[in-house]
Amino acid sequence: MRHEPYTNLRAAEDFQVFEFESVGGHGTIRKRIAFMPTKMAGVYNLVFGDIGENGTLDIYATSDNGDRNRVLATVTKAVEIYTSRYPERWIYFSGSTRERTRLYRMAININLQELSEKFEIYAEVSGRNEFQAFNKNMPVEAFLIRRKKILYLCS
Amino acid sequence: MFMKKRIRIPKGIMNAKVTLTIDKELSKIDVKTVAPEKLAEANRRLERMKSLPK
Repeated sequence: MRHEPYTNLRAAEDFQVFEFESVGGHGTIRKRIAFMPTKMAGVYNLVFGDIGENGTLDIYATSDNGDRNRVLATVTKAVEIYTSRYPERWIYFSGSTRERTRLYRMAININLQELSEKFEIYAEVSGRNEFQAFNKNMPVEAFLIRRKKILYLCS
Repeated sequence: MFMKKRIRIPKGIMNAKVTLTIDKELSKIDVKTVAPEKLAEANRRLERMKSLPK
């Protein structure tokens, strides 16, 4: 990633929830990232958004704080931390809108080389009932990633 | 005699240092209730998929 993440992250003991603060033109905005277990064993749904006044997550909020790339870098860092603890888990995610899913695709495209070193990246494509290995030009509906397995060769 | 050594500092998010604080308040959150509509959508979509990648 070409952008630095926010450096102060808070997390639940089991890493299912992370929080950080976005600082920008509209002040300080609290962000939450969560990994929710789905009905498919081993697959966790990644969501993130702004924390509202009542403490709930608003995944549709447009905070327009001028730090979009930094926020995405921070979410990616949280995924890295989460998958280092749970390397066998799949992370499934899509944007809260089509535009956001397209934004995630563009962010992954730009950083594909770095991300591919650590993650297997698959995409859900409309009309297909199997995940496809991600490539730059596919029309993605959702993403599925997992930490790459590292093989140690002993002599 | 000292030799100058050029050290390449790897850049990128994976090498970015962050401070991670464990917050017990966050541990109290029931993660399934964080975004129930998004979770329901994910479950619906995943149901259509035959299997996970090998």
